[in-house]
Amino acid sequence: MTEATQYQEINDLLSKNQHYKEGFYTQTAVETFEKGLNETVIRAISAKKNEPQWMLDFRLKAFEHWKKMPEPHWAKAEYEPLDYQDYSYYSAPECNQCAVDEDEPVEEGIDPEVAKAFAALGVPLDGSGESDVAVDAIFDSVSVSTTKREELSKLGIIFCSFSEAVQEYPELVQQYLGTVVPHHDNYFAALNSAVASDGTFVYVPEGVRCPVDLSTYFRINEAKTGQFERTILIAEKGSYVSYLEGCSAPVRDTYQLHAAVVEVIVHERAEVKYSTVQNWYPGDEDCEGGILNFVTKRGVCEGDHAKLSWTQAETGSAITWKYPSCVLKGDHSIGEFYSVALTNRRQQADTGTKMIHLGKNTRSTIISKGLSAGHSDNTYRGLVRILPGADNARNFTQCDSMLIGNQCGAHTFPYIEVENPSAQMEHEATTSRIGEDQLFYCQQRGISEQDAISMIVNGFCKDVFSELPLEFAQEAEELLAVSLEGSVG
Amino acid sequence: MTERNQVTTLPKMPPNARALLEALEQESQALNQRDQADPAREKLVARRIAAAEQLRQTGWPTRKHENWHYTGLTPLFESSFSLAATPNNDQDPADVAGLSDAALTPYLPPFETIRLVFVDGVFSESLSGGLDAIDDDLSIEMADADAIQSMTLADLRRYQGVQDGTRNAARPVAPSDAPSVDDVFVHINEMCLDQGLTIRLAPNKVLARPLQILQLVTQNDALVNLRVRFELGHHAQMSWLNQCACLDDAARSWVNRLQQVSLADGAVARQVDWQGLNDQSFLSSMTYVDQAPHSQWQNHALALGARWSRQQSYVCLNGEGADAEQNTLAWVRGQQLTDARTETQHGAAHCTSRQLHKFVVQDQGRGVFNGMIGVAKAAQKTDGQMDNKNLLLSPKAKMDTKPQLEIYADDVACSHGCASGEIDANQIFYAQARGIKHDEAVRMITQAFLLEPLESIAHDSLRQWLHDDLSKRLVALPSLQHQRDENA
Repeated sequence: MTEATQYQEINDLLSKNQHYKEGFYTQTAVETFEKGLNETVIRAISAKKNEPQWMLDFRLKAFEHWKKMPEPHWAKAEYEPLDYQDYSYYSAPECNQCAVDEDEPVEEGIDPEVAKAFAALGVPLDGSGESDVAVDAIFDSVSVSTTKREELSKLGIIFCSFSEAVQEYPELVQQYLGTVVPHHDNYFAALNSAVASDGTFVYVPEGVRCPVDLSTYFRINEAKTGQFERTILIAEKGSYVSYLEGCSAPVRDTYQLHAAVVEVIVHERAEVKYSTVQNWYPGDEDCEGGILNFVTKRGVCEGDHAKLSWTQAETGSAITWKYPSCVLKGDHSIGEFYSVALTNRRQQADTGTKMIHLGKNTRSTIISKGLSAGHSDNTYRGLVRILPGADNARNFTQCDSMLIGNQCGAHTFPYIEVENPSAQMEHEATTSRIGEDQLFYCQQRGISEQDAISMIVNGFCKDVFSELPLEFAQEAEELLAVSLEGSVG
Repeated sequence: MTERNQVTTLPKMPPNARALLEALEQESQALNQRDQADPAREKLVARRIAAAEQLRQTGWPTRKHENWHYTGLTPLFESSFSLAATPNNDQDPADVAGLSDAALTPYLPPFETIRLVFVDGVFSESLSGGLDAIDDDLSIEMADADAIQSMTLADLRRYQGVQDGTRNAARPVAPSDAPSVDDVFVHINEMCLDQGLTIRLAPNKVLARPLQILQLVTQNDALVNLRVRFELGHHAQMSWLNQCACLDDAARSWVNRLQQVSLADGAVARQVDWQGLNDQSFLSSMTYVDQAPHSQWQNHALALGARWSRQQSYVCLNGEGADAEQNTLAWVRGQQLTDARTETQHGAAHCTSRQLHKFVVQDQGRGVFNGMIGVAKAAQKTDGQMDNKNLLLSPKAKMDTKPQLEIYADDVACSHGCASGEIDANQIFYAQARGIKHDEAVRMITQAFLLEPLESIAHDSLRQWLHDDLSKRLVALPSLQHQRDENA
């Protein structure tokens, strides 16, 4: 396919997908591996990244295991079977040394096209400005820039791409890699371990309160590439960090695979806030070509009084299949999960959380708001497991679903396993729709139907949005409004 | 086996599981051999063979199967079972077992009933009573060949979820269409089908006296295979009390029961399903309820006994304005595993369903609750509610619950709630401060907790009788002294 026709096609697609403003494609020189997955490819990825032997061994071990695993299909989602040989497992902007335009306020070494792309996405890579956020920008398989590194390093905070961490802090990576999500954990985690592209590595030393929000922006650019980022976040004793994650991809007409693994380790009295605004390309009206978002995210509260909080706003992807989980090992540790999942058109989301209570006096809270519109299916699936040693464990779960239109589905599948009598757990779930009287009330006061829906939906999601950092909350609200467009009438 | 040409090879399974499956096949073949000369039973023989084949194909479920994750079958495999022996033609099973009326005393409620007593699945006329109240409007058919032939699986309906890319959630299917591992006990019921009971109530008839169906089990290592069918004509009303009990505390038995309830327009059926099998026994029970418009179904299940029990009900609300109430009271002790499952499928608009399931789990007991409310696209204005509350009384008690919603209609009010925990120390303190001993306080609170699901039983003296019976049993609530010491 020539570039011109490709452009034309993308533009056509774009014009059909006005609602997805992140759907542009960046034209830049890239190095993309041939499609296919085999041991040679894995060795090549590893060689490309100049990885030490232990990392290659980890990949190969995972790959061997992956080959033996059956592909899981228990999610409440339907899709054409994936052909793992039809993806490219490595793609990176080529020009690392190309001349940087003087006017471009970008770090040295960044492809100006890539920088422009990120600027267009509202992710400043210059590290200056009023932004109170340090950003790691990941473009296909590599991290292109990490801002505010210097500043953070003065505090002892390591904030860099995963590949750099493998080079520069191998002992830390070795210590933690695969401890929370082992390479054999599940099918997509195994795949990720084998072909892990890039990701973010965060290490917050003892007693340090990270002054800025750390953030990673994931961008899938090339067609038919999978993104397999691996993120590790370690919070040492008494530290605090707030980490944000955003993502988007160009408009395509074939499914793209995103299978990430996130491992979070929270030590004694440390606190980690992990927020995600997921806006992968959901595909066209029939969700053809959207991203398949099959992600394993898990954190372990290793020490006493540790706290891990997941907040997510899921609006994109053709299929979302993820369960950010907390393993509450330390006594008095706290796990939280706040989620808004919105599906429209033919999107399918099967998402929720797992709270595994091991330590005494552990607490967890789950607030999940599911919104389904169009022809979509939205499923909450969550596990709360209280093991025999978890005396006085406490869980509260609330899952609310809202249906917008009568062609969609909302489902709730909670699993609750209690093995300790002193544990107290509560679960509530409701399903409702936007009341006609509510709409009428707003319309009577001159608010358009669309705005009224947006208002009511935002009210419905308020519990979760209030957990998001301010800028993110606003973005999430806007996203919600955009994603809901055309769902009524 | 050699006579059959096509024999599916069994899926891989442990030796004892295979042994049980093969023993069941032999039982089925023995029935077929007995019946092969009888032309009236030709179809029945064919059905048994087909069901045996289905069981071969599916094998036993394992913990890897979604619906069996919490309910392992291992205890069942540890035993061997053969079909309960039936007496020769004219003999009353009570005589064979040496039973007198005295044996019934604990099971007789203090009000008049139409009492049908079965010993190891066979009707005993001498123990039954109140039969004079049966009139033309109520027909009770026992297991003759014709009656059993008519009890096919064809109209069983089970929710199967979204399949083949269609979004039609309400797809009731006959489980016999394609064998599913979820239906193993249905296959077993069909392949061992020999006894059956059909009860029909004429339209517009209101049966004043409750029906009492008492199943007594006496034999050891016996499989009691039951098939019961209720058919209520339009606007007919009746209530019945199912009882399952073992007369010998040491005898191990397995009751495998399949019930079908068909309710015509406006029919009202109320069932109390009381299960007090001994601690060695097994119970697998499937109840399929089909509801026409404006019919009402009420079920109160009391799971008090059995080493291992799994009671599944499938309720299909197929007509507008139908109403279903399903309550469970489960007291799980010792090594027991008690599994209560409901599947409520709203297939039409304006239906309501209410559920309250309460478990008290103590010792090393294990409670399992699985509830599913499905709402099809057509079922607008559905009102579905499901509550599951569990009290755990000992450190080794375990409770696994899965309250689920699957909804495809937007104008609905559906909710489920679930809570597990122990008795609030404040409540015990409150009682103790008023001079009530600790153990007595625990008993009182437990009793109050456990009796709630029974409150909606309309028949006053039945409710009172069940209350009293349960209160007496709860006296046996073992001292929780040790636990208090542990907590202190």
